Amino acid sequence: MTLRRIKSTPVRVAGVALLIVSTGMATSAVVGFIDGGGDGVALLWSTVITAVAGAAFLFGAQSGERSDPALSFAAVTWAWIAASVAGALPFLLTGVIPWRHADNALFESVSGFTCTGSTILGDIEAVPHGLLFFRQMTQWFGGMGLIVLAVAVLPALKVGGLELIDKEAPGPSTDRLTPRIRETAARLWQLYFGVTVAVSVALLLTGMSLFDAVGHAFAVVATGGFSTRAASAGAFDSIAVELVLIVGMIFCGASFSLHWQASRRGLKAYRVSEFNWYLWILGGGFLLVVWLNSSQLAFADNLRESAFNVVTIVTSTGFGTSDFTGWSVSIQLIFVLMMLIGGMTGSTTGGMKILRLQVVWRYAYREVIRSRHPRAVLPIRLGSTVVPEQVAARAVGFVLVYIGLIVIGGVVVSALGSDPVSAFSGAVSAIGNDGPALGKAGPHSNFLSYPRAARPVLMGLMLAGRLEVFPTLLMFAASARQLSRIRGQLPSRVR
Amino acid sequence: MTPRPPAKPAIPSLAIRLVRFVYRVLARSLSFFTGGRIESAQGVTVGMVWVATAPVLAGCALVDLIRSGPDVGGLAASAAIVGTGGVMVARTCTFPRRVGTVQLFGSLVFGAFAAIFAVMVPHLLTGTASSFDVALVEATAAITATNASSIDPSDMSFGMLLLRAVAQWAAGAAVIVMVVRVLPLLGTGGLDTDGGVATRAARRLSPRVGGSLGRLLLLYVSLTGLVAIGYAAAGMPFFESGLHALTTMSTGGFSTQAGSIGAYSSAAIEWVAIGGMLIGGCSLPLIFLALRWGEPQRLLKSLEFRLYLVLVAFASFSIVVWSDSAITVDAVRRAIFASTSAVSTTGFVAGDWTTLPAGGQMLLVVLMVIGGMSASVAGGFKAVRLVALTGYVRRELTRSLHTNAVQTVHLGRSSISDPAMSRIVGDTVLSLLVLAAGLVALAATGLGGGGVGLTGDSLGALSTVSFAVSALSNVGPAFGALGPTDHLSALNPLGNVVAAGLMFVGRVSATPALVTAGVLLSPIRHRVLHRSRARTTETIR
Repeated sequence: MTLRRIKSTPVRVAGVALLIVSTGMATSAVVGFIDGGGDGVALLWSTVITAVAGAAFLFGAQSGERSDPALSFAAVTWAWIAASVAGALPFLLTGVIPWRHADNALFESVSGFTCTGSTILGDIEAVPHGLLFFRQMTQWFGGMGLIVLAVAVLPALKVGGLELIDKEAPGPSTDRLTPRIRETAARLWQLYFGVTVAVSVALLLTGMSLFDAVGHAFAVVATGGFSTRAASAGAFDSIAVELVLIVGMIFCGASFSLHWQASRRGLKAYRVSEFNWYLWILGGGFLLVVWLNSSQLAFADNLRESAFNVVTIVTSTGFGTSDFTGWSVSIQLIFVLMMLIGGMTGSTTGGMKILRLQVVWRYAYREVIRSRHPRAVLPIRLGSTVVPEQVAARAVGFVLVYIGLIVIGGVVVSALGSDPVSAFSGAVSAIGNDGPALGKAGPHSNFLSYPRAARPVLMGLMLAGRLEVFPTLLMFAASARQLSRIRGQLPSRVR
Repeated sequence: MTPRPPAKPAIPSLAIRLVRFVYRVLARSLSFFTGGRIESAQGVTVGMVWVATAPVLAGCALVDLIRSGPDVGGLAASAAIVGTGGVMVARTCTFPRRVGTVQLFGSLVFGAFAAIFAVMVPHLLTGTASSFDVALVEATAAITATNASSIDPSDMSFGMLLLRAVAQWAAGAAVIVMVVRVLPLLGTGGLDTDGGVATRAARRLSPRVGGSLGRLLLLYVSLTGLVAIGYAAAGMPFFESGLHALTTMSTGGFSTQAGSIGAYSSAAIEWVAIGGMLIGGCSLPLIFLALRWGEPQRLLKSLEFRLYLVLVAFASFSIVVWSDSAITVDAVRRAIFASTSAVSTTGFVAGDWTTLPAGGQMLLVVLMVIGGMSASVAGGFKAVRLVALTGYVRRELTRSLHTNAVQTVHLGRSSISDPAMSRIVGDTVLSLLVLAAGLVALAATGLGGGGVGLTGDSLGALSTVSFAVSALSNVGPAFGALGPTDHLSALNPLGNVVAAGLMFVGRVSATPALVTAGVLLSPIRHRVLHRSRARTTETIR
């Protein structure tokens, strides 16, 4: 019997993803053996299982030839799902999460790969270090995949919108990784790796242990938010640590492709309107929060905590240092707004992304001007580039779907038994990949406070938000098509 | 095309002649008053609003006199003040020959301001409102048909109660005038201030001068009368049925009882209220056409109407199913009542809203946002816009797969043009921005002693968000600390002002408010912009 390879790009891409995840598991196994926490063997087993599955997918399928945006959407989504399922294995195999709570393991894994940072683990410091290292690595991998997604794949599919301002982004192409995409990806990974090393070194210099430094560096560069400590970054109680983290988060909340261009063309590459808005949001948010907090916190504490929290929320990292559920409601609402806005396109942050909101704002403002001058021809401009109408419409559609998903998610979660504030803030936090929410799922608690049936909803939202919504919504349409195509490839007696 | 059967004369010719007579009187008085030299549509509107309010105030004073209430002097004095002011303003202004969109927006905004002022004065003079900000928010609630109040109705004299109810009812009538007169003027040139897209029914009713407007107003009046009869038949005392009919039909929601409709504890009254609210949130041109041609099935043919009913049904069903208590007829009725009250943006309360399941509460908030049908007197976002936006999203999803697909957005059997679609999207985005800003402002007012948000617990966030949404959609009751029975008593003065602002923008709709604000601020904008940019640009920055 000849083994037929099915022509399915999603399967192949999922295979690649699984292989990459297994390398992470292998590294964590090494860490586990060095640390001696007893999880090394379990991690080794997960490595083997994942690697085998990945190899099977990779070699059992070959890339389809048709260029079909639907295929790419399905590929991306299935890759993330496959990685998340595989990522649940270490938690289960080491026994940290019992098998009857397998959905919790999946939640933690999804939270890692989508760089969200919401956790269901109660006592983090009781978890063996190998597993903790793997948990941090899931974020790092998620961030890597994201960079490529945001800068290379999505613009080729005309979803991300980054093709507007990034002249390096490749134009329309097939669903295979063309050399252009590979080139872009390789460059960005170099930068990503370099920043990770830089942040780790900086953290080492502040006095953290190697394990903590590398782990937190992973979390910062991927703007994830998992920490190796129970009290998150606050456990170190060190201004130096917080400063390094702040600088790292701000840097990683900006577009990586922008950083690459700046490294080649100098600082004038930063004169992009989106970057301006990003800095304004950070600065303005900081001042606003300091002002609103001034009655409740001492001045120095105020500056320190406000700065850290504003930066961590805007960049959707989500280190849970201060319990801002005790702060004024206006600050909490501002945080929710920042979660909605997100960071720059082309970074690992979540949210609707500043570029998109700029486009949508100009679209809306144009209507106001049109009410005075009905026949004016008003193109939407970002800086010197004109935004084509289709792209603007796409951005508007995205914003509407995003908000719609939040509303539906919030209603469903509150119907499943959560209180409204936790429900809606949880939905916003999930789809924005931030981490902490308000109410009962605040920075100092975990997501176990949500009813069990509600957590899959939040997982779905995390995935949707990470993949910029359209792929997840379309993947069913895409996958159905794919299935019918595969069915057409099998020999007639099997069909 | 098969010829239509001849229209049955559904409206007696006497009534038509009466309406035409009233209209002619008003038109003559308009030309009497406006002989001034300043060409300003805004000024004329302000003046006419005040001139029209003065007799209403006088009437309320008279009623109070008959009932020997305490507020005769206050009401009469307000009538005098407002009337004089109105005459003075109207006489100095005249209607400009060409009214641009900006002037229309401006007259809308200033007219609403004027009405609020006219209602504020009696509140202050009769002592019903203890301070300026309370008077402001009470007056705004009256004019924007929102059931948000911090004053116990049993503390108010009958004259004041009547005034507030009439104010809400007149606000509804003003919306009808806007729909018929302003909508076609704005047409493709501007933003429809109500609904964003004219449904087929509204478009069919293309206005001839005085014709459709008179008919629709007559319909409004008769429906109010019908609801009043309904209330009286259900057992409500005579005057109170009248008042409640006024506030039901206008989807305002003020009541003579502190506990709103629930205080009567009567199933019959609640059913009448449900019916009245449903009608109030329904598109008036649609009802008119259905009655005129004697075809009630027209109502069901409208996509928006079906959506309207489905929303109520779905929400009631969910509330009943999700609640922990037993399913009784009372519970079902209360669920339907709450859903109808929310979606029609009336704001009547029956039963304890705080015992509703959390999902049910959130559904009610969503319903508040969606609001009533377009071309109705209800507030909110309007159901038709939701349909349009859903179609838009579906089109974008399809376009992600098939990049060159050409698809139009459909609304039932008609399609929505691209400019109209852009307008809807623009208004949606602006409303969201207003909501966000209002949320933060409202929460920030809680700082510094007393009021919402000081403790920062989850109840604070819930009440802030639900109240902001409720105010913007002109419903009134919310959840948490600003619950249905407390309303505004938890807000401090600044919070009252922010709440009034939210209600105002909700009624006037974001684009006219922002355009007018932009016009008012344009000297500042010019100075800011021209200083930072050397070259003039026509592009949007």
